Amino acid sequence: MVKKYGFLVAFILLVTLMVLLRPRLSTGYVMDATDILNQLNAEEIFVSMEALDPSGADALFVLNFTGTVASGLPEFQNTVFMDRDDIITRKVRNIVRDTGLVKVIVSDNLAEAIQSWMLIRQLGGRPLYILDKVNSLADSVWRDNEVLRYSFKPDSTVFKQGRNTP
Amino acid sequence: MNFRTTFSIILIFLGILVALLPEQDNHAGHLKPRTLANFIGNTDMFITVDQVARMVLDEDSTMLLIDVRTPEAYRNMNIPGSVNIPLQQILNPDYEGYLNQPNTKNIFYSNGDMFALEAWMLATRVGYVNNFVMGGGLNEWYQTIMLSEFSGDQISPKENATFELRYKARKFFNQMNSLPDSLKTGFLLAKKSKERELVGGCE
Repeated sequence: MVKKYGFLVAFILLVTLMVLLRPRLSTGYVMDATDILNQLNAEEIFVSMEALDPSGADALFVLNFTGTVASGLPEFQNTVFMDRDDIITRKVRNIVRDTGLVKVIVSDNLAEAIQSWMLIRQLGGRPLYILDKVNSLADSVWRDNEVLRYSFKPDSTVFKQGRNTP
Repeated sequence: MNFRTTFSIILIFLGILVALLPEQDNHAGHLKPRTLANFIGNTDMFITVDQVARMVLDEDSTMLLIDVRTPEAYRNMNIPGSVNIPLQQILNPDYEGYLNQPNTKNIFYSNGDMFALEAWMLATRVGYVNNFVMGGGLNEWYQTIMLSEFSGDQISPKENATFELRYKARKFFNQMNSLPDSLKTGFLLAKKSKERELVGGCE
């Protein structure tokens, strides 16, 4: 009996395995665009250097986009140097989808950091942060990027000039 | 062929079918992650504040300037000609008509770069094309356009043209943001009428 149906059972197991592994092997989005939009307000994106503890960093994984160990940054045990093409590789995908690891993006370019965060987050990476102010020359921390540094004062003479004198 | 064999064959067939079916696609029309990744770190998506100032003054109809800040911040002050689509509303189907125009440049701006970049990523992912970010946002607009001054003895024609552009954009920005909404349309019409007179056109 076992001999007779052994092949069929093995085949069923194989197919079941394929079905179960499919989401894991997927290179597609895990989050809807709407979900990630909702998360933008709910999640803290930036983490400061002080908040990271390199000594107890077994559960910390650094995704380093700078190409080198950034100046002033301690060497973390779990670091992968990467560029944009690596984000969708299987190796990185498995790292970012491991919810037991805290992933930290290190970049010296705000645009690159934000875009990488957005994409990795949509691919299922969490918890995920961007290390703030990697470049020590930066005059402000990235988390303050959206603070308006100027204020507008209406020009009262425009109104007095009237409608026909632009 | 007994029942168990038939049942096993059907199961295997269904299993293979499920395995081979394409994944449930909730993201039809969305850009693939690999394609989206190619944009990361690409500076082509940035438009300078000088370029935006030129488009605003020229009333460039191929440009849609999108302020992704809150309505309150937009009401307080905005770049003339911009529309307010707050970041949280960027995927609202009501705004698709604005954002999904293949022949129009969507230029996102916020106070800095962050919210505009997030809007850019989402708009690009869902398939909207021609998306750009005004580099540096309103902070850069203030720094470059509103506070620009010429210092030096001589000014080259190119510098002069840039300075004149910035001066005009600054003046227009101040005028439009100083007027109450009820007077803005009348102001623009009067401005256009005066410009036509200056170039010798007729009504």
